Amino acid sequence: MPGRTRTTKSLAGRIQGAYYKKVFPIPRWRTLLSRGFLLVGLVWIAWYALARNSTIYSSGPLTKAHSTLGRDCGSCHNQGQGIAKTVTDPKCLSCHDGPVHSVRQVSTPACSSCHLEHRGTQTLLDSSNEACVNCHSNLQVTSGTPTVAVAIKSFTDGHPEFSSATAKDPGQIKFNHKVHLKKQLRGLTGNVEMACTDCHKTIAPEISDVAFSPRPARAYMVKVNYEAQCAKCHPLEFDKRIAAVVPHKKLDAVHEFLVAQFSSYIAAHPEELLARPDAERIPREKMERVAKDAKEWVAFRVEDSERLLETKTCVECHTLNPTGSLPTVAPANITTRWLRKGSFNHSAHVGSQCTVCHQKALVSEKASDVLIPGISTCQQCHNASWGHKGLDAGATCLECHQYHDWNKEKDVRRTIAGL
Amino acid sequence: MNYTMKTSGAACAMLLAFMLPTGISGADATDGKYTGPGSCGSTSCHGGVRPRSDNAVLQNEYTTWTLHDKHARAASLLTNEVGTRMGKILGITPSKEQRCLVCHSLNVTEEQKTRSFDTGDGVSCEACHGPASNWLGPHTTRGWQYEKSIALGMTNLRDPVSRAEKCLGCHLGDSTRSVDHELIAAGHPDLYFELNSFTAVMPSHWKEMDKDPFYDLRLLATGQGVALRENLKRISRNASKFWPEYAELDCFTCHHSLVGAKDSWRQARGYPDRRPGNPPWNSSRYTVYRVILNQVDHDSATRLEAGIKRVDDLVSDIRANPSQIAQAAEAASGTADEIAKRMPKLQMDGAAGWKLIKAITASSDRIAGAGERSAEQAAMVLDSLFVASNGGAPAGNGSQVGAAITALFPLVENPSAYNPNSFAQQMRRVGALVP
Repeated sequence: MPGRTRTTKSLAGRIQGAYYKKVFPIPRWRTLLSRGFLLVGLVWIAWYALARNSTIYSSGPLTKAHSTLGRDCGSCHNQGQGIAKTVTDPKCLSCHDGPVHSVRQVSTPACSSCHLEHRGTQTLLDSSNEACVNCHSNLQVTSGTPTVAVAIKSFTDGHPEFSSATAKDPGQIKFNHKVHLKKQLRGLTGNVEMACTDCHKTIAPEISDVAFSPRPARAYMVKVNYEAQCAKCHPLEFDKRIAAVVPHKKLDAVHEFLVAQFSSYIAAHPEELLARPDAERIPREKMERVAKDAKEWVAFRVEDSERLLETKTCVECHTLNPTGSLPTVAPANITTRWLRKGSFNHSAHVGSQCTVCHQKALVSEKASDVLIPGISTCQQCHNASWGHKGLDAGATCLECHQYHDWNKEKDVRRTIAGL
Repeated sequence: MNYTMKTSGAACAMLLAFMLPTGISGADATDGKYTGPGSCGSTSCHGGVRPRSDNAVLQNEYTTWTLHDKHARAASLLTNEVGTRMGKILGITPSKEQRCLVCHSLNVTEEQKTRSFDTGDGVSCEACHGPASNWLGPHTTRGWQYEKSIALGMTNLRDPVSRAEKCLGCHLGDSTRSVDHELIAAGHPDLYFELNSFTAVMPSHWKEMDKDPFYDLRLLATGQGVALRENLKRISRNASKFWPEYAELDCFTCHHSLVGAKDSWRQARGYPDRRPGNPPWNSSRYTVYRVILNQVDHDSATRLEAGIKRVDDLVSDIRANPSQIAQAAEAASGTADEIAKRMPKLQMDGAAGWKLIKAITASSDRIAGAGERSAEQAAMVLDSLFVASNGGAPAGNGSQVGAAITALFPLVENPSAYNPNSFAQQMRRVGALVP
């Protein structure tokens, strides 16, 4: 058996006696750095605090709309409750009106549940459908029965057909799309071929019945207008003697115009008073009326012209209702916005041929036909299945709808301090 | 009302097959529907105010119709004073009565319309031109031919025979339309017609496509021929239903002012061709035509004469057997039909027109003696012949002839007071002015 070499004494000799008094470099640096960084942080914060700059506490950049608020967190965040406190509705409503969605809704989410700030977005809107579908997939109301579909889960699941698409056009202008779009349509001087855009133009800066928040000016078609769109092929001629056309105005104005035109005509051509119809060629039949003086001549001509206008020219497009001495013209009632509950923007769809959506226009013979497409046409591109045939134009509720009922909007004018 | 087209069956179908662009179904020409006058009157189509020169058609047809043509006001007669009174007499509401609407409106059933329109528009485009639904769209295309529209159900009014038939359907009557003695008694005027005069007064809303300068002479002869044929068919129909139908007889044999016996030209003349007391046939559709036919187609005139003589004798005999009358008229109408169809093919010139005027005036006694209706027919025919011939072969004193013809009209202004002697005398004056 060999001799014992690992003795307790020899082992104890490896340990320095005053080791606990010695400062080693790693712990020293650890301590130095941890204290140093803390100090730097405190100085940094103190520096910003002294400079009254609060961006370093922010959870993200502000939207452009709110950028004017600058660094004043208190504009939105309630003071005295800590800087991380959520924004409450009164703060929003002090500058903005947020009209109620529906007076019968069972719950009203806070502004900030949809309008998220500090997310770097441009619009302040959370565009997910969840907020809407939460209620609309199983719609409850505080009283009565809902007036909209009660189980809408998405645009392609449960959304009803557009009410306008199944309604009747309230317009009172007689118009045949099929005829106007046919090849070799008879024009005033030979055949013409018309395009949709000959009559339907999107330069509609003032749409009086837009109740929703402002949309781009080219969203809707301008109302078809006689002078701009119809007059070229449908001139309001009234007599072979006179090249002028009657004004496209109420019939009393037309009457005045006719009297003036024929009066000046007969003053310039008095010889016409002497004109007598050809010899009678049928026994006992007197075919033409002979005027005894200029006044009667004018009256006869005005009567003839009004007969032509009222039995042919006006009624080609308008319905006349007999009232008193002159009929009244039924109001045109041209609809500018068909989708009353949702918005639509033609300019966003400008890449498509009109008839891709408005197929019925090619075959419609009656003005009472509604030519907006049904929901299935929209769903071909606007559907929720991402990547579906490469045609996903988005199908969020907010593509078409607004939460707030802007018909009820109140003017809230607040001046932002310092601006 | 029967608006169906007479089609020539298979030939027509084959024609259609070749003419129709693909996409339009090879519809039978008879299945057309009525689109109403509003479909035609657009300013770019037929509703301009002045004729256009850059087209084969005037394009102001609708305006001419609605302003100047009595057809456009035909329905309003049903509700005016006379119409209302007739309704009261007959116990009907004329504006709703088929018997009236068949002629006073475009009278078609709701199923025959492509859109709603009103009988108040009167006798409108499709009453004469036929249902438009099959040709309305295509007929505006470049290079379209009238014949294609005909194949699709348009009435061929460029054919003088079918034009005359179309007018006479109302202006004389057909199997579904008639003005009988009952209607006349209630206030409806007796029907009389002369194609050229009525066309001028309507007034016509078209340019004739046949460029023959004497087309009007052929048209006139055709109008006369078809009128006789239709008159004979009407006699046959009436005799099969109810006889005597007084509307076939000369009105003014009975309806005339009574004078003392010594002043009566009737009694002075006597009744050489019939038993005194028998009202004679209203032969106005034959008396003048007979003279024309003798000039332009003597053989036909001779062939027609015997058959007409028999009809005349039977109709003018108040005791005659109605079925014999029906048979005689039917037989004569066959001959008349065959001859009428020859009329559009006549060769006419200006000299022919003057010759006809001369011949008619040479027959003054016979025509004037045949009654007031024949006299007024002669006045209209002479006037139309004068208008149609005057440009071609002036007789030197054309304006005097015109004035003499015009002077015939006051002589028939009051039919009850008609005097054949004065009328014959004036006819002779006309004849004397024609070389």
